[in-house]
This record gives sequence, structure tokens and C-alpha cells, in this order.
Amino acid sequence: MTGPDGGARTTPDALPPTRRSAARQVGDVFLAALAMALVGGLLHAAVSWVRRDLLRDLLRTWMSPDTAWMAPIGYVVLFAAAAIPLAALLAVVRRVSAMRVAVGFFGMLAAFSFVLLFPRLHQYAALALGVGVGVRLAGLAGAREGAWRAGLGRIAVAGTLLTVLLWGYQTGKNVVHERRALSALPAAPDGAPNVLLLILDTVRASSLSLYGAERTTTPKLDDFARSGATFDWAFSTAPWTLPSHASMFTGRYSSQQTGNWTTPLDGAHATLASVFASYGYATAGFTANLVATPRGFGLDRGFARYEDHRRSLAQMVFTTSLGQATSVRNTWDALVRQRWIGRALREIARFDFEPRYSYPDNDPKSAEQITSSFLRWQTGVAGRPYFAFLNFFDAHGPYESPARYDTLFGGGDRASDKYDRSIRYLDDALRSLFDSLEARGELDRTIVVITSDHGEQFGEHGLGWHSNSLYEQLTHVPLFIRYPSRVPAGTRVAQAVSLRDLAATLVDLGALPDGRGLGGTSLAPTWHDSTARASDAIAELSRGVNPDRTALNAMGDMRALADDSLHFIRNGNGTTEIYAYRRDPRETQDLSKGAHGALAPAFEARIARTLGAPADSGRPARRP
Amino acid sequence: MYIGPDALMPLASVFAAIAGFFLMFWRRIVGAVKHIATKFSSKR
Repeated sequence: MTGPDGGARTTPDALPPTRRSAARQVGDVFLAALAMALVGGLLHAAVSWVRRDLLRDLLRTWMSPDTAWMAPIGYVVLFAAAAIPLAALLAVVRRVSAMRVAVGFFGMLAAFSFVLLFPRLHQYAALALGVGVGVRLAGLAGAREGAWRAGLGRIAVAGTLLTVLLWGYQTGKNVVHERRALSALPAAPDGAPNVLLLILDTVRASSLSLYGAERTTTPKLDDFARSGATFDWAFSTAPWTLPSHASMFTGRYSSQQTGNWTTPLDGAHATLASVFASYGYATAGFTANLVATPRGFGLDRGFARYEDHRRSLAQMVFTTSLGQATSVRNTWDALVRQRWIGRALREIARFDFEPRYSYPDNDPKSAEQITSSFLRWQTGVAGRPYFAFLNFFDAHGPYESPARYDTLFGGGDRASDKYDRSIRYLDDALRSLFDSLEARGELDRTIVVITSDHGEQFGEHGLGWHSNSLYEQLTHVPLFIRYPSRVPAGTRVAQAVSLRDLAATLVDLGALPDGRGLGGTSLAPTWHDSTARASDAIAELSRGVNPDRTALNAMGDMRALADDSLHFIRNGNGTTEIYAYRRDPRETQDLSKGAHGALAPAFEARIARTLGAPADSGRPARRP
Repeated sequence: MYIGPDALMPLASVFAAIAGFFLMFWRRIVGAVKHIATKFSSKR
């Protein structure tokens, strides 16, 4: 037997090679894998807790409080997968101590994974440190196998118990919170309608057939829209999720609330959920967007129930730093989907272990899972009116829809083809939801709002994705409101409106006596009177924290305003653009270089005046 | 391999790599230090 650095030495309680059984070898590998995975996972959970609760480090890593129990399980799954071939090898090669090799290997893996949590440390430095820790642990374990076996056993039992306790605590906390919130509700007004806010994440208006898209992306919504009011020119207040949702929830413009790149929505303003709860409504949020709307980003405030991530094994693996690494993901794909060991080894050799924390590296709920969760919950609160918020992530990159949609729209493989298919999938899922509500006799006594938080770019203006400009592609969103007793069927509203006014509109339609601090103005007058105006359609985008140089907010904050005919945009570098968006909806002709350029100061002044005005109108929402 | 500002290791990475190196060769390093210390003290 040799020491970790190659020197010969004796080991007091190591078995001679001839006396090691295959079962003992295999047992040692799995014991070491389990113990090291639990230690690594619990350390990961501790770092996440410090970042989330002590440092308030938002949008840097997965922030769910459930990380405390999901990360250890995720590491156990990953380490167990690695333990299978290692155990098979060491069951045959019994002259090598499995305890020593496994403790060294999994110790290295746990230390490497842990160091990857710190983004300023280079992955090769993390590897060096991990290997160093592994070599030291291997030396120690090899010298005292029996003692280490007993110690690892104790660690495995204690780690498992702690993980179960953390799961129980977090789950119990959510259950108790919901029960307390529901039991504290006052009596709801007689005949109060339900409110169902459906946000189709990343869906731009121009890609819906309801808004004239060439492809029939929303046939069912086209039909459903005949029963309510469709807003032809609704604008979001921001081109990305958190500030846009926060605006809808509070009735504030983006810069009038705190939800932004590194800060959650704070408790300074009332939210739709808290106001409806104060009138006796049961409240629940079901979100599939795990990047900017999970619990902890402030959007969950006021909800009795808030469901975000799935409790799937895949999501638990994605919670780990290794699960976020490109090499691990690609190796897994090569092994499981393509069954190609050569490619898997090449992926490992590429050595890309920087955790990505990007959109595909999660296991979000599909539209059908979101609607099922909501319908299950709704059954349990029958007898009370409810306010429910549903976020659908299917049309967000990577634009995934079930395989049965693959051949739709020519089966093309461009991002825009996938995007259109995912919108069609959403259309089908929404129709099923409405059919279920109708079958329960709930649909006509429910205020249904369908909208989006922002759009998406597919090369327009030389840009892709979102959160990098304020063009129509990102800020012009669908908005449809259905409530047969108050909203006239088949209405098209032509005025430019802001999603900022959604909160006041719901207060108005729900006949709540007071918005209790929610900002904005009801949109109800706009569907009766084509001259009625509500809040200015202002959109804002703060300078990015780490933007791509092509992003128009790379140099500074951006602002935009759509009036009755023109869309004014001030970019981060101070340049301005003006588009006649009604006759040039794709915004291809910038009018700011001509006579319209003189309008820029007036637009700037109007934006400043509006944003400087108190967000809370201080009066009940206007009624028609 | 891409070499740019993002690929340049910050100071913490250097320290981490050095710590890893020390851990990997701990016995040899400790042995070498002891050897040098013994030689130094015997010369005196």
C-alpha cells in the first residue's frame, strides 16, 4: 500500500487485499458517495442561505429556500451515478482499497462542487483545490479504513436526518403559512368575482394570430377573445420579468418599485395579492419562471400559497453547482440520449464546469402542470372568491413544447418556429383551463386576464432575446380581459395602455371599495370610450449588471413612451429613436432623424413628469 | 481556448490553486521542510 504522495507506509486497520470482499468494496464506494454528497449538499445549502438571507444576493444563484433539502438530494443523485461504474471497477480490482479511492474521489468532487459556488474562482483553481482535498482525504481514509467506515456511516445517517428535517421544516412552514393566511381572512363580499391573472411569459403581441400574426398561433384564444375586451396596444413597463411583474402587482412603474437586477420587490407597496386577501379572497400564485419569479423575489408577498419549482429529481440535480455545468449536462445528454461514450468523454475533457444558472438549466413546470396545480388548489378553496396568478414559461427560451407540436408550422428548427409552436401549445393549454372552469360553473363569475410580461426579439434591430432594448418587440404585449357582467364582449381597445394599470383595473372590476395603496388608473373607461386615457405607456430598463455590449442598456438606463401614434425611446447611450408604431409596427423606420426629432425633449419631459408624480392616485379607481 | 478578461484568474483563484497544490503534496512538502529544518539546526 502506498501513501497519497506515493510513499510506502502501513495502515493499522486496512484489510489485506486478499480479505477484501466485493460486497465490502461496493459498500465502501456507495457509503463514501452518500456521505460526501450529503456534506457537499448541506454546505451548498448553507452558502445559499447566507447569500439569500444575510447578503440578499439576488439573481446570482438558485435562491429557493428549498435548496436546503434539494441540494443534498441532488448531490446524492449525481454522486450515486458516478459511484456505479467506480463500484463495479473496485469490486473486481480488490487489491485497491475502495475506501481510500472512493473517499478521495468523492471528497474531491464535493470540494470541487463547493468551490464552484464562488463565481470569482476559476474552475481550474477549483479543480486544484478539489484534488488537493481529495488526496488528503484519501490518505487519511486509507490509513484508518475501519474508523473512516464508521465515521462515514455516522455522517450519512446524520446528513440524511438533517435533510429530512429541513424538508419537513420547509414543507411544514409553507403549509402553516397557508393555513394561517386562510384562517385570518375576513368574510368576502357577497357575489365577489374570482380573479385569474394569466401571464404568458415572453409572449409578444405580434406573434399571436389574435394580433394579426400570419401563423395561426392562437386559434382558441382568437375565438375566446370574442367574449371580452382585447387591447390592441398594451405596453409592459419593462422588457424583462421581475420589474414587469412587480409593476402589474403594485400598479407602479418599473422605477417606482424595487424589483430589479439585484434587488427583490420589497414590502413598501401593497400588492394585488395582499389587497385581495384583505377583502377575504383566497390567494395563490403558480409560476413556472424559476429565474425571476420564484419565492424570495418579492412577488410571492401576499399570497397564501405560492408554488414555484417542481420537486423533481431533475430539479434537485439542477440545484447543485455540478448540475449547472455545461460539461455535466452535455455528458449526461451524450450518455442517456445518444448512448455515445466517446462523446461523453470528450464533453468531460472540454472541462466546462462554470455553473451557468441559465434558463435551460431548470426543470420548469409545463403549462399543463401549472393549470393542473391551479385547478387542484381551486377545488380546495371552493366557497371563497380567489385571486390566482399563473405564470407560463413555455414560450420563454429555449421555447419548448411537447413533441406532438414538432411538425407544426412546417416543423422548422429556427428559434422563431419553436417560439410559435410554444405559443400554440399555450393556446391549447389555456383552452383546456377555460373548459375546466366552465364545467365547474366558474368561468363567467371569474375576471380572466391574459397578458404577458414582455416580448422577445428574433434578430429585429440586430438583437435577440429580451431585457436589452425597449422596442415594440419587447414591450408590446397581448392584453385581454374577460368578465361578462362588466366587460362588453368583442371589444377592441385601440388606445395605447400600460400594464401598470392592470392592478387598478382589477380593483375596479372586482368592485373593491378601495385599492388600499395600489397605484394606477382603471382601464375600464377605455372599452366604453375611445377618447378615454389612463396612465402613460412608459417602459423602463435599467443599465444591466453585466450586459452584452450590443445591449442598448449597456451604457445607461433607458426609457420609452408610446403616445397615441409615436413610440419614443431613449437608449442607454443617450441617443433617441421615434417610431410611428401604428403604421410601422415592426419599428423599421426611425423618425428621430427628421422633423420628429424635435419632439424628443417633450417626450423626455412627459416621462419625467409622469414618473415624478405620486404613484398612488389616492382615489378609488374610476368607473365608467 | 478563449483568453480574455473573464478567463484571467483573480487573486483568490491563485490562492486556491496554491492551497490545492500544498494539499496534494502535503507529505512531501512537510518532509522537505522537516529535512531542511533538521539540516539547518544540525549545522548550527
